[in-house]
Amino acid sequence: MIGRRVVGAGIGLRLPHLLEVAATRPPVAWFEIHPENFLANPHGREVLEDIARDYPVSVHTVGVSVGSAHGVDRAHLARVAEMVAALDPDLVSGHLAWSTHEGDYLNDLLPLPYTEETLNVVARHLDEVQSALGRTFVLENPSSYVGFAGSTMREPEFLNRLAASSGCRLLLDVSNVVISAHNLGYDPVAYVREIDPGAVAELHLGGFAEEEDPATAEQTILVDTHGAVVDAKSWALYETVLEHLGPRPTLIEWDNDIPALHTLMAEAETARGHLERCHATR
Amino acid sequence: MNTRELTKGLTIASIIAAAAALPAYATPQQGPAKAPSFKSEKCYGIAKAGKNDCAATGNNSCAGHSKVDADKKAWIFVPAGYCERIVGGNKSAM
Amino acid sequence: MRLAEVQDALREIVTADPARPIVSLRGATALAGQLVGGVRPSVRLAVHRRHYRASLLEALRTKFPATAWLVGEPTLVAMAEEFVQQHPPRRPCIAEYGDSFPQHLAARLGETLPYVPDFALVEWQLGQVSVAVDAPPLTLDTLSALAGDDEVLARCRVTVQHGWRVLPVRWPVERLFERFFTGDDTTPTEMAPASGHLLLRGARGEVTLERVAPDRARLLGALLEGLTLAEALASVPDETRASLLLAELIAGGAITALDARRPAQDLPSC
Repeated sequence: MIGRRVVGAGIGLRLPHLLEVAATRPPVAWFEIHPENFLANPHGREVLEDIARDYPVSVHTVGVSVGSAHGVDRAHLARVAEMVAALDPDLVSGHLAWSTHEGDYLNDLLPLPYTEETLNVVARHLDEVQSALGRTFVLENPSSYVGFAGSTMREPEFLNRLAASSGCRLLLDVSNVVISAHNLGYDPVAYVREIDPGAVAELHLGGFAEEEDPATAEQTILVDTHGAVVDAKSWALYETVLEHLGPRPTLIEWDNDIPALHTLMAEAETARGHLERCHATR
Repeated sequence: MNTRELTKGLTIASIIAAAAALPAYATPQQGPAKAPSFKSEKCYGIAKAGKNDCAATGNNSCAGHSKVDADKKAWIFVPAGYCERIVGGNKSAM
Repeated sequence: MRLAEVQDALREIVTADPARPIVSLRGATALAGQLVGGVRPSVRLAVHRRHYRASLLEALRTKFPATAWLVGEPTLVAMAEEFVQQHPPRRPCIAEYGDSFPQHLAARLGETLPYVPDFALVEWQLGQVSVAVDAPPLTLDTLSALAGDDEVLARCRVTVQHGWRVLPVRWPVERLFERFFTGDDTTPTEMAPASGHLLLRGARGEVTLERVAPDRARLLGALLEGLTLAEALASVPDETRASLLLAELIAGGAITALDARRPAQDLPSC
């Protein structure tokens, strides 16, 4: 329903499932959508607005590039803001990353060095975004393949400081922590323990793929494909996250090789089990 | 009915009369000439209207990386699609 | 390094020709020593390069399946690779990427496969109208109620269903689309130049496409462009024919509203 809170385990609502969800109204706690999938899709938008009457929704942006040195794409931000106003989602989120540069749209989420300069740039853009949306923005930790020697702080500290200074909240993607920790050689549990619990509004879980590091066959990298079931490592870290933070709305992300709706719902059920156990032990 | 002219000789009344004399159309799909109608969800439509997501691409899904031929133009002159079944349609035939 | 410089370098690496190894790129040189991760972090940027290119190619393949059927998958992919390199996206909405792909096909294939540009252009528009929603059309009753205001009505503009398009073509590509949609790709088709106009109508996943007479195309085209009713009707010399064409458009549900924009300074709006 318009304005209802997201609670429990939800799933990403992808275009191939849109008509099925509208027709069958399955027992899903909440849905998350990418607004960019609906900006040039009036039929999709019509169906989505119908669905949103009966489910809490969250809007997860892909193209709001808060990390771009040359600024957020204002035209895109305005289009997203219009959709947000119409849907009145419980949460609106995006990525700690950048994708636009001098008019080019680099269809990917690119890495940022964690420096005071980056902090100022992102904080300024968060102010702009939150102003345009008229609400709090929720910022997701990225999946990283490279880091920067010039970084003066670790990612959790960077995120915590952004939340504190801009009033944004955090979307902790548990699988991204697994991925980045593997790729950059740090301890994912230490990462989780450093995140400010009060700042976290939402959790993500998604599938990834392990492949050879392009630089050497002797190492592997984890790639954030969102194309598979949630890995055991992610579920284990999720337990740790729930111990550290308490329960949070959790989203299952599956964007590639999209399976049947019931498969996504089964993943959400697993997350729900973890959340319930977490409640019980508090 | 008012008969003031829309353009020379043409009035709303005449248009309404013309429209009223036409067979009733239940839906816009039944156009003035019966047009073939296609359910396009297989190729277009709601599920295909652009996949914006935040997923990376795994190694086994980058099938688009065909090797660039030295002589790029060669294969353009030898299409392998329905074009093979088209008679005429070449500049030489124009 | 300043953030903008880091992003310049990464942008260059992500968008560079895939045939060029990362280590050979200016951006990689600029970032030398700046990156960490594994034994050669700049090479790991291949993940970003790959996603950028593969996702855009996939977007174009998804948008032009009929063109892929027509020219064959290898040709379509090669044309798409060129297009991605020469005309990268400028907006964060991939659903809108590819509207100038038909022009690229015209430049590259137009000489040898002259019907392909028309075909691709129609395909792009088919994709657009298939996700349109239609609105309740203006009825004859509404029009009757305005019968006393011919002078005002003459200066009105109209809103046409968002899923309707009129496209000029030089080839009978509608015959190819019929083959594509019916799956009949074994019988040959004869293609000879045939200039005219196609009317596309789509809503909620259903589309029609048909060739229409020049005067019908002109009238509808004029209304789509935002000309007034009088201006649009003036494009049809014969008055009886003009009224019939407009009547058919109305009866066919083309018109959803009389535009509320002020038609002229000294006249009331419609």
